[in-house]
Amino acid sequence: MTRPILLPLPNAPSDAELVARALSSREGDRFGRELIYRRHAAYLLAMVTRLVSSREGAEALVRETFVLAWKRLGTLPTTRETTTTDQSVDLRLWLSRIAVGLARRRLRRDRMLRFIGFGPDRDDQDQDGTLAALAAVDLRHEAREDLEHVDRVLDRAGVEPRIAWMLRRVDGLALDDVAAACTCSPATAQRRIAEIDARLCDRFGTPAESP
Amino acid sequence: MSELRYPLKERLHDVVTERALQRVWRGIDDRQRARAPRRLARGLLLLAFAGLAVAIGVVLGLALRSREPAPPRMADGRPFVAVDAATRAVLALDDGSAIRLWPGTRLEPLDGAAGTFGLRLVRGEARFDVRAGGPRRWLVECGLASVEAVDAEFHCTRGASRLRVSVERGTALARGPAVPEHMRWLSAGDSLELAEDEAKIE
Repeated sequence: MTRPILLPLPNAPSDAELVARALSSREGDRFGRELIYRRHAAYLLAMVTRLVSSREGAEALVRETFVLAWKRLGTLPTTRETTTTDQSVDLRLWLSRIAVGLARRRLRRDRMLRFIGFGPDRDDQDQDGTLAALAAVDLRHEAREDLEHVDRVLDRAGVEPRIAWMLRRVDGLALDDVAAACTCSPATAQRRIAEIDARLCDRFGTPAESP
Repeated sequence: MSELRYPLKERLHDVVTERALQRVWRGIDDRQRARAPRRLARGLLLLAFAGLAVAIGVVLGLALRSREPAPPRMADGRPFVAVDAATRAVLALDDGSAIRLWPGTRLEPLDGAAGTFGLRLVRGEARFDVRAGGPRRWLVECGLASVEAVDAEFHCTRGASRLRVSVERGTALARGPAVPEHMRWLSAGDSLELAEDEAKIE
């Protein structure tokens, strides 16, 4: 089994170069793919773990994200004249969109199964990725309780507001990036975020940039 | 108010470990490796489907060909061959049809098109009693015209430059350049008389 290549590399190639390499042969360039994976997997894994509140579930979703990404790599828009940094952001956003789509599907499926009585109860479910479970060790008891409260609010919220709010308030993505990842307009993303902000304003106040 | 500030991930510990990344990569790698045999299997499956389609086509073609009705044979099972009648004769066929020949008549089988039993009245006089339900349409070439029938009884008399066709039962179709408008339906009781340069319908 091949181990991922360890970074950093001198003069690391840009994402655009890696994508071009990955598309260069029928089977794809292994080096390019591994490097793309190594560059973006950690970010995606952390984000998806928080989205679905499960480490194991997140690993499966990230795996599926990259399998899909290799298939769709040819459809990635690369015509834009951008800097290396922008291209990196583009590829990350593109991967995020795939991962968020898969996470959304999983969250909906889980809720539907629970609704009809076939899904596992929330208490029985693997919940090692909730905000409270991921709290830093030095966090005070009151702050941990606040995170548990956020988890409860997110549990009751709809899937779309939950995803938008987490991308914005937990991961700190810009509103445009949230909208791109959720494949909706910025206004819609803003409305979804505000829906959960309103439920948390008693503890967190109204964020300054909140709509 | 909470001491927590957005974005909350600043106060969460890092969930990503090197082992987790390697585990996910191995899963992706396994899936990629599994794709090659699947592609081969898909190709083989397509090939098998193509082969099956060709085989079905061949079998269907053979079946349809074998279902093409065979030309009628003589009642005793012998194939129909050319006949020179020295005396009056009746040829009984296996589909119930019959051909009555007058002395001096010559009748030959033709290689007709599919679904057609072709005959050529070279000279003389013959009456064709074509029974319904036979496997083929009858087509009798009589020089100045040809006569087609499926269920009819008609009489043809061919001279050196004349032809007379009369229908006793059913309907027959006479065709030919000498036939008025090149084609004429003849019902029971109708007759058509053709000469090299004239035609007469009664």
